[in-house]
Amino acid sequence: MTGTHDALAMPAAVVPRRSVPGYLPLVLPPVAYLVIIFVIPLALLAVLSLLRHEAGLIVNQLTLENYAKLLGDTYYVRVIYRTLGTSLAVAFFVTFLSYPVAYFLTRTRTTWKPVLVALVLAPELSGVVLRTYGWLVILEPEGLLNTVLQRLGLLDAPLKLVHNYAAVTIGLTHVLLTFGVFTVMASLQAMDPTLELAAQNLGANRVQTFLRITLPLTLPGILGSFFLAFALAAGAYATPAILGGKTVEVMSTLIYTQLLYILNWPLASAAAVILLVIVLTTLMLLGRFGARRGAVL
Amino acid sequence: MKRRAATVVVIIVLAGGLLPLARAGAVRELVVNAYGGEYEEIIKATILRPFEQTRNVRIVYDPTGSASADFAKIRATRGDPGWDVVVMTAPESLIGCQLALLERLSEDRVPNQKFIYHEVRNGAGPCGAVQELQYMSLMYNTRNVTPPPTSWRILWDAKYKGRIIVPDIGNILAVYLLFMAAYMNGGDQHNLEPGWAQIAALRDNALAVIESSADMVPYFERGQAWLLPYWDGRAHYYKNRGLPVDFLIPKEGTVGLVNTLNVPVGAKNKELAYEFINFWLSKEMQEKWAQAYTVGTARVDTVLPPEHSQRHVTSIRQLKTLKIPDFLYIGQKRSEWAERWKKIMVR
Amino acid sequence: MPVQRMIKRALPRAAFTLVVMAIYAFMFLPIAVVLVTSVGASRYLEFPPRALSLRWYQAVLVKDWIEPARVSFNLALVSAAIATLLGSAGAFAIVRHRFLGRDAIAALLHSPLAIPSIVAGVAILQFFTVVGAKWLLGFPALLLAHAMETIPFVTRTVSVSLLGVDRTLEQAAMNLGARRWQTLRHVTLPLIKPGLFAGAAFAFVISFNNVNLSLFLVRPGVITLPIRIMNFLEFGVAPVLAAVNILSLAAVLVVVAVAERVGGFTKFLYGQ
Repeated sequence: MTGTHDALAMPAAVVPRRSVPGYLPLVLPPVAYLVIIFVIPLALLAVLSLLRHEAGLIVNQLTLENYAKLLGDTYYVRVIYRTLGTSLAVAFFVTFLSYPVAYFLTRTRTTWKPVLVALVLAPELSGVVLRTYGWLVILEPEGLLNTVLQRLGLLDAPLKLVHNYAAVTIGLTHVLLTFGVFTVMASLQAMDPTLELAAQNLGANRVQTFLRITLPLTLPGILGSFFLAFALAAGAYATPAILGGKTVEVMSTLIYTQLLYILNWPLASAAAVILLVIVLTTLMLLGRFGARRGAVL
Repeated sequence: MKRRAATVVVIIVLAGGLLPLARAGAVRELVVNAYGGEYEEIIKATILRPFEQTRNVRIVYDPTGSASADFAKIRATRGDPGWDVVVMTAPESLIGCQLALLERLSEDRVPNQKFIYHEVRNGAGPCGAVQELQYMSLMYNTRNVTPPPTSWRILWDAKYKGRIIVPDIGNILAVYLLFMAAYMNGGDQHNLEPGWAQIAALRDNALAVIESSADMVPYFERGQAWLLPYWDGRAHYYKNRGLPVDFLIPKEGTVGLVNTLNVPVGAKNKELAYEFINFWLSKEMQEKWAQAYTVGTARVDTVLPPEHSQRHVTSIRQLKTLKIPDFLYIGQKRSEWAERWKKIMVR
Repeated sequence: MPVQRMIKRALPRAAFTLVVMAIYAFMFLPIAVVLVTSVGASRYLEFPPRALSLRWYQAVLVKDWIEPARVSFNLALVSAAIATLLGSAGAFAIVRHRFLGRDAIAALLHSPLAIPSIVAGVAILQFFTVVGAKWLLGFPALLLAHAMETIPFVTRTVSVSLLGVDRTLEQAAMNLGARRWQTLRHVTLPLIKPGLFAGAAFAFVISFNNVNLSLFLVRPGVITLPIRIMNFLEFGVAPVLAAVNILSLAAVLVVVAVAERVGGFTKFLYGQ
């Protein structure tokens, strides 16, 4: 996020820097909006994270014990690690699978393109029946996937694909593909394809062209997709709760249960603050990584 | 041209969204919050319509939110969630009363309260009016579990490994199961250690651990799960819907669930709300509701057909066999239990 | 050896197409299960169904489903418009300008992403209660909250597009005498159209599907489709929900496909 400017696309000599604060009218509306509808309400709730919860009631007594528990107790620390691990895996798979689809959709000339583009929205829209029932039909020990793999002789015993982190990863990767494909497409389309032709004319083969030209130029899209998928996976509730069952616990399911069922709002809001810090730190790290390669996030 | 068309679209859309605001403020209106799905059809036909017909009232029915989400809403709005009457369970009723978010439902406000069993009224606290009684039954698949189970110990039986659904601690069924595990092993609801000792074994025997009662059903529909501790009302409902299941109380007995009607302190039409609650607690409505929703009643003078009263709690004799939990104690300990439970269940 | 060369050329392309088809299959096979289930005749979900019927589709076409769907559609449309305006303004600021606190503002613009929406829902409800703005509950509150939740998506995708724009093109336009807004309208906006489209589409589907934020902001009588579905779930996953899922999915896809066809958002810009 800090950033040297996009050196590849904009030689500094060509565009002069303006010193007028032209950013103010751009920055103020969204910032004011988010402060009122997001920051202040959240801050009011986050105050609770500094209060003690005792015998089912909130006590007006300042304490850091909610944070101490979440960051000190091995159980909660493991929940944080698992949230990180699952979200990173999902972000990787989403980006990895999105790239070919985005590349295909950008370059294809088929008249079916509007349909193919719209279809990419389907996973995100697939809904509650898939989550609570459809995945069960596919992933359970006697489900479609295990049956097919066993018939093909690829498996001896069924894979355990429900109620664990693998199930959560599969479900989240599926639902978040929408975001990956469109984000990478936004990057691929803004890129000047004549650069690829130029590289090929200069003797580079397809693989070299892709690795040296296309991939670096679409780094903003790759990082953007990775970040969106990471953040959404870390905050998702329904998919981990249902596909994971309750032998799986991640930050979002912890927060939901504490907020709604156990009614320990101080612990829930402390967990929410920690999750916010994790996601924004990831954004910053990805930004640094991108900036070093000339792609400001 | 295009831009003007866009403006018109936006205005139409906004007006459409805001229209219901303008419509509000009709004559005597009562907002009732309960549940959706088929519950909505049952409550409308059995309770809401008769109430509307016998007096000049329009009921706005709000099916949004589980009892827990409802309570969170009451808490976040400091007792003014926009409803006059809300259906919850005893633990929420008690905590809400403690936090002064709910009105007290004394006998001068709701005269029919005097017909409710005292044991049950005490359980629900001064802010709750008990409109139904349920209990944790053992629901089983009739094709695969023969003969029918007789003991809760079947949940720990290795023969049914991978066929059992265990409710998660967010669901009060899990607390009840913990109680039963304690009772069966020499403890009680204030001495849970013998129960805790059984939870790891329960986990190892389970197919899945699930929080929401509704999410447990697909496993029965798919024939994956055969045994589940479940509310008698819901179990009976699925049996009636054609699932190959039945339900019973094992020999060790079981724990009762007290459901309540509550009035948030910020309710706009309190008098009408009390009248509505009194109506629901009347003898006639109690008998109708118990049969329509396949649950028990806490009213002393109800008369129900034997095929119903055998399966649900409708008499003092049946009530005496139930363990009525100390809901206040549950409220105080829930957070601590949840943490301990999670540390056993999560791998 | 023209045949060999042809194979050598066609093979990678065929392999690539195969990979893309496999990924599309991963996106669609799970939905196909829902589709097949939705035409089952039984009162509970069955896969595969023993008897076929369209009764559940018939059951959807009533006011109780259409009215929440209308609310959701309007909500998604308007909140996506607000988010697109605010989110792209933010994207221009953080991509095109360097100023003190820019990192903090970039973080702020992305932070709604980082909070589970159930937390935001409770927080906003509590805030409205404290400041006496509870009369906003219902459509206005849903609108404000959904736009908040979807701003980061627009900021992200528009930033991605903006970063790819070759600024020499803008400079050329300016050198040829175009004013700044003309450059924006005729050069920059066409170039970032895919990012705007992606952001608006994300905002739309996120709003259209949202459960946990809406849960706390709806009012009796004004509920969204996902909330209606959630209420229905109180007694398990009924087959009618499969039909609702398929119909709303199809409706949104048709709208997006038509928009893409007419708007040509993801048209290849430079030509080859």
